[in-house]
Amino acid sequence: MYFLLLSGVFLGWALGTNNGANIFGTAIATRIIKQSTAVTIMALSIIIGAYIGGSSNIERVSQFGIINGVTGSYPLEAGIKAAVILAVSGVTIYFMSCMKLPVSANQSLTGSAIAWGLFYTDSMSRNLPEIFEFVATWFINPLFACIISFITVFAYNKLIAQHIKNIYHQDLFVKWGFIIAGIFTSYSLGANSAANAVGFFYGANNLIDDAQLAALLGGLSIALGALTYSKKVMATVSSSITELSPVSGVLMMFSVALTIQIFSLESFGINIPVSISQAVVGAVIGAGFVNGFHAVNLKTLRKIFLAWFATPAISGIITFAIADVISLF
Amino acid sequence: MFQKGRRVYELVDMHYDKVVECYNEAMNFVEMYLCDPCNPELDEQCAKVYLLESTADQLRRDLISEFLNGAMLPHTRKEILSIAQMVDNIADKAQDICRLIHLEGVNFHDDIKPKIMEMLRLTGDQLGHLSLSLEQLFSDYEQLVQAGGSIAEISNDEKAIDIIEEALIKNIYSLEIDLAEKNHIRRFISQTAQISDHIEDIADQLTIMVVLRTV
Repeated sequence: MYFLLLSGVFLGWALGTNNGANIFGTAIATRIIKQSTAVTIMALSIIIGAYIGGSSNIERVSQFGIINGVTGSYPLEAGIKAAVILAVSGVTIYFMSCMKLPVSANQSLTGSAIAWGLFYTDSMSRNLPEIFEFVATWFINPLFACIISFITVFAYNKLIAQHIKNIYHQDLFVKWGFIIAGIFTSYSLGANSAANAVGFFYGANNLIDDAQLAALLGGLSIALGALTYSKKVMATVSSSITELSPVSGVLMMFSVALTIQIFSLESFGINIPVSISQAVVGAVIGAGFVNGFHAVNLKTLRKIFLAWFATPAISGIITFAIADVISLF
Repeated sequence: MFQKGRRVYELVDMHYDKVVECYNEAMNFVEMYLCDPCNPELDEQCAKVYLLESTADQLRRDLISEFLNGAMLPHTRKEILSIAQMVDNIADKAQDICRLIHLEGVNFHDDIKPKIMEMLRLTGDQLGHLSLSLEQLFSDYEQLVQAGGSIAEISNDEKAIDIIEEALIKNIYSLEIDLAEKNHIRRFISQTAQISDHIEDIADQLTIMVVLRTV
């Protein structure tokens, strides 16, 4: 029965390919950090983040699955249902990675879960507030990241820029800034998003009953995705939305890490896994806005926003079709 | 990283000093030639310019080697190497001027000699301002782009040299000498003025470096 977990590992891997690219994408593309160094730092930090801080979102995701009908009278039934949803979400994200578009596991998972819930349960009206909360994070997260990024860049210009007077100092700031922000962001990714990969298998679904262990598995699969297939999405985020200087890249990464970390805090009261990709898009826009509205490439933004709506739609349609086929047996 | 950065600055500085020395010797060569085209010391002076040009080349290669050891970040290395290459071209151009006079024996008319010396002097001033700009890049690059700073001085000198160049060309073509001779002198004038344009290009490149570093 544990082979069903492979679907979660696959989603985690897909999430790592799509989200992991954003962490060190700019630094690797500009050869500020060696790929091997970046990948090692990223993988370790994701795993540590998932192990230490990943369990808080697991229950929430598990609960979201349950209200959408990812349950069963015996563990295998629940496991199979969860596996279908996770595999479809994984495929959708992988497809978006191939299209070089930064999207969120939260979006594909929500699309799949809602489709499943529509097919198997008769409780959409009861589920609406929960669904609304998940969907709301797609907009709150990038908006938050945009604001934080704008403030960070503004504060840098007012308070720090005057102390960075020559090209050595700036090189030093950029190099260590990327490393520190990368560790921070990777940790946040592990802590925040591991739940997406394995949350449906936790708790009432009875496949994994230890939240920390579930989070660790999620973290490992995300790290695997980041290690193996994350280059394609990097280019879209690092250069297509707005031209970023190395310093802007560092500040953007700090803003993303801060945003994701805030969403991971239990005291913040959201406890829903949010997407690094969405936060990066928001942060890049925020950094671009400091130089004026014209600095942002609206064409690329439109493409990304469309992908954000297409992702849940695609995963929802596929899940609905699979649920329809399963119901025949 | 700091030590490697300092070493880079030392090499950039040493390379630049050698290029300036090369230019100054080339200027001395032109001055000696203008005073007496048959001066027996001209050969020795020309050899001095060639030697300094080749020493500057070697220092640029040392700079490349320093970067191979991992000094600075890749985008900074690329920019500094591009600047070093451009600076090196000043020595090449100074050498070309000496070669033109030494091998082809340009026949300068007395009327135009003071203006030629004025052009060379202004180019020397430009090199002084460029030296300050390079130093600011490694110490406080905000000063580099401040209004009225060394970059502005370089631009002002370039404009002054352009005016002298135009006046000289007009003057040359009004002289009662062969057209071939006029064209020969004009070639010398244009090559000399190109150094000034080139220095302005380097100054622009330094400004771009700073602008790209602002958030």
